[in-house]
Amino acid sequence: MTEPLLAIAGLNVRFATPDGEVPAVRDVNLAIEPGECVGIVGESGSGKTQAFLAVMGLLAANGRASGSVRFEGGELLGRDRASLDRIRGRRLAMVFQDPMTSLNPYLTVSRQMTEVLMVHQGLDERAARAEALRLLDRVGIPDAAQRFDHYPHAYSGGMHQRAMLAMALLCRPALLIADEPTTALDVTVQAQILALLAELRHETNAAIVLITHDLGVIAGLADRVGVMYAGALVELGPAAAVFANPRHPYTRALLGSTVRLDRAGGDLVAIDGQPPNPLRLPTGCAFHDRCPQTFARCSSEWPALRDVAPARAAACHLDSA
Amino acid sequence: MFAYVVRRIAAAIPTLAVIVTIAFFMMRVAPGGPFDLDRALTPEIEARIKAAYRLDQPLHRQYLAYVGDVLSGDFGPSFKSRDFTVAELMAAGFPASLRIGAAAIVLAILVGMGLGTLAALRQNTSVDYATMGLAMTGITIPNFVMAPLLTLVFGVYLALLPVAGWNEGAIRNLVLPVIVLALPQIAYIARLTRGSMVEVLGANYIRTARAKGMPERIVVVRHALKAAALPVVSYLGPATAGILTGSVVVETIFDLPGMGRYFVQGALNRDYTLVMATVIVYAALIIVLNLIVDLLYGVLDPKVRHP
Repeated sequence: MTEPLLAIAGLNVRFATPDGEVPAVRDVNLAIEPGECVGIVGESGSGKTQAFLAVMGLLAANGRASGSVRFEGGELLGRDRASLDRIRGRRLAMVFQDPMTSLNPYLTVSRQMTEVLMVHQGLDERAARAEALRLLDRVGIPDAAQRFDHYPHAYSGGMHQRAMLAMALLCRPALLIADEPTTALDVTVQAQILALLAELRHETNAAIVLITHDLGVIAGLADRVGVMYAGALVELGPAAAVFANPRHPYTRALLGSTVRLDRAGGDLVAIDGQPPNPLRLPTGCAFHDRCPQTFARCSSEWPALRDVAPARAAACHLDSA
Repeated sequence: MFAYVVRRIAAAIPTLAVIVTIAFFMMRVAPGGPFDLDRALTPEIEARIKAAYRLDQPLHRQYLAYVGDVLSGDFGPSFKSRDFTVAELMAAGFPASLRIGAAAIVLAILVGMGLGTLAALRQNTSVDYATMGLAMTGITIPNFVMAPLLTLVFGVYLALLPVAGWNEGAIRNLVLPVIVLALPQIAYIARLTRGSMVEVLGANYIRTARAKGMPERIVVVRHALKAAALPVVSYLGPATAGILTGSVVVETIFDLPGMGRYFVQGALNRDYTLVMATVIVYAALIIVLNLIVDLLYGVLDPKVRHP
């Protein structure tokens, strides 16, 4: 079997804080094949963003990643800055949660786009401008030619995210990491951006990691879905199968708390308890004190993610009984 | 833009008028006068001197006459340095102060912003602590200590540079005064730059630039420097006015023919016309430099546009 596009193995991310070391990502294993779209869901603080910032080499200064992240056959962790810069923005791209603050307010959109092509592909300014403008037009910025040399403050929120997507796709990356790409946008714009993401995916054949807390976003776009809880991947499988028949109690609870407009009335369902403080993770399974099906072994032994059915994995003692 | 500049200069005229008026009357309220000497003058001589300098007229007439003179470009004779007009004194002193001051400002911007950026990039490392520790030292050591210290080391012991003197503005003579003048500014600008640079480097758009694979040089110079320079630009307006008009301490220690000493001499001697001229020059400089700061803001920050 050939090597996957991205192979994350035993990834741990820890942050040194005044209160002690915080484990943000714990022993994550995940392989992503060329062209596939993997959704990563989890609540705030579940480590989904930090795991992929570690992949990008963009952790905050007090963060340390260990384990292995192989991309297109090469190890990313521990790489020197210069060789990392030859991959980031060219083969591996990321768009961020808050598009309004992710574009540089002091530079024109054209400048921020052309620099990518000039640095990575050695294009001259004219060629870079032509290609950048083509992409800005492609992502649906109205009057792109006229807005090309504007500063970001003249763009709306949706236009910011469109420009971010265009910027990320300039060099036709093999993998695009989209971190909550629609969270900061209003609902109609969210739908437009997701539709655009789906179109671009088929056009560029890029693999996509879609990080979100919104299960609806995943359902529409992802081939596979991974569920994260307290820094660990607790379930992984084809999106349709996971939604139809969740194997991990946390996934089940998450799906059960989804608000559905077609079943109006009734109370909103919440998961009992609070997500654990990463400084004081419970022993054993991190979810056991909120889990309706917990039993003795759950509080003593950490369940590893293991295959529970063809192409499906879950980290739960129920499945190994 | 041109209209904006014209409007700002027009708005500066009433400001200057108020400053001139307040300075004129405050100077006269202060006890003593330019011709109060240890030995008393005969009433006859005193009356003739006062008449010669219009001091025998009522205050409001003196004021109107002075304003009239200034508007026609005449800053009057110096009350103390006879044989010289105030304009002549300024013309003699300002170029030297301007030359030293401009060199000190340029040095302070380059070194200060360089050190501040370096400290921000190496935040919380020994490089950071060393740079900021030096900066703190630079701020706390007064120039009347720093100047003799440097003179002693580089002028006397090492004998590399002249101890003092103007020497027609030779570079060798300017090195020490420029450094003494620039040191506290370097220190202050370095601290300002570090603070703003640390903040900017934590911004989301800097993370975007890194995610795009931009080398650190481009991240810092193209993506971070403009925003990080804004507080420095604000500080530089008034700071430059202070430095260009000369420092009495530095000019005295290094025996330089600048205009800094006129501020002190003029005030101590009650040399009314000289004090008024220094006030006007200083105020005009502040106004012009603040205008330049605001224009620079427009250049640096695309959200600031001057209609």
